[in-house]
Amino acid sequence: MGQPIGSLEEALLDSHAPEETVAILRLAAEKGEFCAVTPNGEEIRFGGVVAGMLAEMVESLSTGQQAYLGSASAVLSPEDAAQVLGVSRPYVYRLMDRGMFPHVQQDAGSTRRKLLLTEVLDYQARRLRRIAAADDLAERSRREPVYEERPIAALARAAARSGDASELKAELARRRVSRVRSGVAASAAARDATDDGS
Amino acid sequence: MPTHRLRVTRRALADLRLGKIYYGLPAEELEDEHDLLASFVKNRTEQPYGTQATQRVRPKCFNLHTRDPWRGITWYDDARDICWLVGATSQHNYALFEERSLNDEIRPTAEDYADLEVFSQETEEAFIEQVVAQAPELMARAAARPNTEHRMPIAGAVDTGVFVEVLVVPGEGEIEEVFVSFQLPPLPGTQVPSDFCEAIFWLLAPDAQEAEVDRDVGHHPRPGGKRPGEIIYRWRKP
Repeated sequence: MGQPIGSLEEALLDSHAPEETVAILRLAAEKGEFCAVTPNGEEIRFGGVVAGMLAEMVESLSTGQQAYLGSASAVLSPEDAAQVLGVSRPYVYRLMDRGMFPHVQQDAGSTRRKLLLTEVLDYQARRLRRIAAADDLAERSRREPVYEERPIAALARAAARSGDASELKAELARRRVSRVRSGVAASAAARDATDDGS
Repeated sequence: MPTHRLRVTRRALADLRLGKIYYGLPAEELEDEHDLLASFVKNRTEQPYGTQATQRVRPKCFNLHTRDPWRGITWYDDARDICWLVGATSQHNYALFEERSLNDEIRPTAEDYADLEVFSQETEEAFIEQVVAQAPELMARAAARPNTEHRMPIAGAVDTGVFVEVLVVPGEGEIEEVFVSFQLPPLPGTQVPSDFCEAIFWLLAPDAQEAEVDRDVGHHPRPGGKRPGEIIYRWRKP
């Protein structure tokens, strides 16, 4: 499997705050140059891509996520994949059975299955993107004013005729915000109901 | 047959020490992850209410037990037809729920409701784009060869079909009925928003008029009829 990078303390020995270190590394990545100094004073120069990778690593570790260093072809056992994702081994098997990792490998004569590190990390990234999208939607439900719904039929007809569905998608997105808001309002009403079971 | 869904709030997942990767997933997917989740699925699938109300907690919740010390409380959200696991404790610590109730920390948050919405958002958006691009061809094919179903996979997985049926009604001549059907991948515990279904129908049949359309049609004229989980609209063309 990919090499796990244990903890922030192991990875970052200086006194800078992690956010400051990430900012410095990102700047070096933008400049396209990065210089490391060894304990005996030798300087090693790297391209900006290395600084970018280090920035990603420090940022991941500082937000409590695991960081891994591995090649694109690295393979993981289901146990390792469970550790990377922070889920149980049976859950990894469940995901495999549902085809979430399309290129599961199995050696001839063996029942043990292996997963591509890249596919495991892709799955993790997809899940985290959805969670971030939900956080954003929740925030919109608190911040945006209540709006008047527009008729779906008219917007869909216009999209079918013009080939541009942006207005229709925007309306569906606003309705998602409304549904979040109405869910919260209905639960508040249930809390305030007199029959509270106590 | 019960229609409600089973979900776990983010707070309850944290109580169970389960990470954010599980946010928003149907409880049925998580039942192997914790005994309390297995108990939740086992005891609330048929009946969204429990038998023992949780004392001094609002909104009205019901206790959920396991054989080990873990205990949970569930709330049935009748507005959404969802039974939520809203909290868990490893030490029979019902005082925790009382305290949370005082701080209004029992019911699902906006983030929990948002998790319900984004679960199928990516599929929906890709689907709409492709329906816009492919609808004219699909409808033209169906019109050219009536009484045959024309199907098209959209956005990688979603299957959309159009069936044009030509009926001869005595005294009225030929009447054309267009059946528009689509099926989302079987995602346990998910619910397709009705406005999304509406959007798909009107993209496929922009010339239809409201009075000519039947929704939630229970049959399909193809051999084998309606498929499980399929959404069918019927447009009776004048």
